[in-house]
Amino acid sequence: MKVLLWKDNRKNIANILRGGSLKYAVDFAIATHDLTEGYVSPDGKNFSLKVKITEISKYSDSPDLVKKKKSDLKTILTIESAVEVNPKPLSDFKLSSKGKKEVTDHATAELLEIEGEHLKGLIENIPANVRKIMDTAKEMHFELPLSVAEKVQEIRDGLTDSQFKRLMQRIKIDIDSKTIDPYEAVGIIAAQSIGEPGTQMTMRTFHFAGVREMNVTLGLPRLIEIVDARRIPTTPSMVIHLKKGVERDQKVVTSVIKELENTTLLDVSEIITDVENQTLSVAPNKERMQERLVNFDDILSALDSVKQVTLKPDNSSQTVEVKPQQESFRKLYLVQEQLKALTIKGIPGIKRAIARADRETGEYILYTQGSNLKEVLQLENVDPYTTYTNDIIEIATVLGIEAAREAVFQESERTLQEQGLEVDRRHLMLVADMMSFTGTVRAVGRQGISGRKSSVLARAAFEITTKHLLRAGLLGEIDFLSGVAENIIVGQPVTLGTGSVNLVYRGPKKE
Amino acid sequence: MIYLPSALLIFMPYTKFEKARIIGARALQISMGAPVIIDVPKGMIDPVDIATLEFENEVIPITIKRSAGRSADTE
Repeated sequence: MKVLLWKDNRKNIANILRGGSLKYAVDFAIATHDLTEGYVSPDGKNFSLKVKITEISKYSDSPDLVKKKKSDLKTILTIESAVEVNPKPLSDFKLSSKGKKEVTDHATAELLEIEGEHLKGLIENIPANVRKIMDTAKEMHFELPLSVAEKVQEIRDGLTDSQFKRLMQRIKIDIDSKTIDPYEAVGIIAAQSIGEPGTQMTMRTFHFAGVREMNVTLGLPRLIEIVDARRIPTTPSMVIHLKKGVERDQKVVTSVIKELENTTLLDVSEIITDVENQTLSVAPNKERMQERLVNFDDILSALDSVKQVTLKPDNSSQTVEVKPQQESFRKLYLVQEQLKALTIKGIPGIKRAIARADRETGEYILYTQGSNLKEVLQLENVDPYTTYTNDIIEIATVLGIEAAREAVFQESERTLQEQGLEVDRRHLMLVADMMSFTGTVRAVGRQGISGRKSSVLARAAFEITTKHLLRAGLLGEIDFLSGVAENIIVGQPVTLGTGSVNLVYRGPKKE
Repeated sequence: MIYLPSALLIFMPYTKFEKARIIGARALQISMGAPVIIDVPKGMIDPVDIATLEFENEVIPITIKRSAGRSADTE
């Protein structure tokens, strides 16, 4: 269903809400006329007002109009009713990247489609018979995961009631044996479980993909990088998937590569300075142009953006002469520097992109050197759902903390797996959770988790002891002795394992 | 921080730590000469064995106090 989206200020929204049925004049043209619903946003991000539209007509002045702006009005919407709804984020609406930009720029509105999705995990969407099995488990005091419940449901009809009961008991024993008791020292166990295989990792590994080499940091250096939450990884790279329907189209692949690779003038041509004539001559190298998928016209159109110069293209020899309009050595030098950094095409940050076809499906997957998630996701033929970058901080800023948590987990698991090491995923999940639960990605170590503990003694026990103790003394910090390190320092049982149990006298059992 | 639903607090059986702590505390009492509550088989003289037997028969007059959550201070 198509709906209308637009941004409006709070005063106008209040007017629409109050008005009931009214005629509202807006400052944009609407192409389609079969719209019945619209959403209004006060901030361009969340849409909190739902309006019912009965008629769309061209703008003409009349006294009963409610106006969005004073001038430049183009269309009249007849709004029958308006209700406040729970704010829907912009991401709930399916729209082209161009449309998205226009809504957030608050200039015009786009016609959009709402995609209703039924999440598998929601209780209402679980079939009744599966839910019944989960309820049985609840009566037996354990929680059955949905995937297991579905499997049980598949064989349920072939079982007698007592067999079913026995099966459920076996499942309960199995699940119970795998759950972790409260106050288990999971952190220490995770640290050891990751640390020991870490000692077996090759110190430096390079990975070459395809014929044209591309290397990605792997092994121990990469693992350290993930855990340190570096701003930019040593070898940022992206894996870009194409949208369904064009993933086997070689033409689309080449055009996407062309859009991706950041090519400067210096990458494809030589710039020769002629001091005597006060000119710069740009001589493109044919081989390099072919490699970078650039043609002479691209160079010309890029040069057009340079100001205060006259261009003299020579089509036969494929060179361009650039002459500053103002004759001075200073100007000549400035123009030369400007030409060196001139971008012909591409996305900033992406140095190289290569395409490889999957042997089985024939689907093209693009691998890049350099990463720029925000810009790449906006490309028309790129599938935003499966495109991936190894820059965790970038994921956190573009997609949010939950995505970053998942990225920390997946990257570390993959790094270990590539070395042939197997670590239980729950250990890595714990690390990923600890790194992200505050809402920003924090490093493990002095700058991050260990250095920001609330207890003074725990911090002092970790690193830079005197600094922490002195600061705590000056500020009069209080230590509640609730962690492990503090309690070891003062010589008390730690709040883990048996140390966490409070014994109480119960009195003799009454028969 | 652990926030358990109250139902879980009631139904949850003893964790391995709680079991160890109760048996340990009782074994210490027995080793210091406390009277044994149930009849033990002949030849059973290890206080830990006796305490374990008592625990399995649910006669130890000790229980544990659980709290649903600790102060937000631990990390």
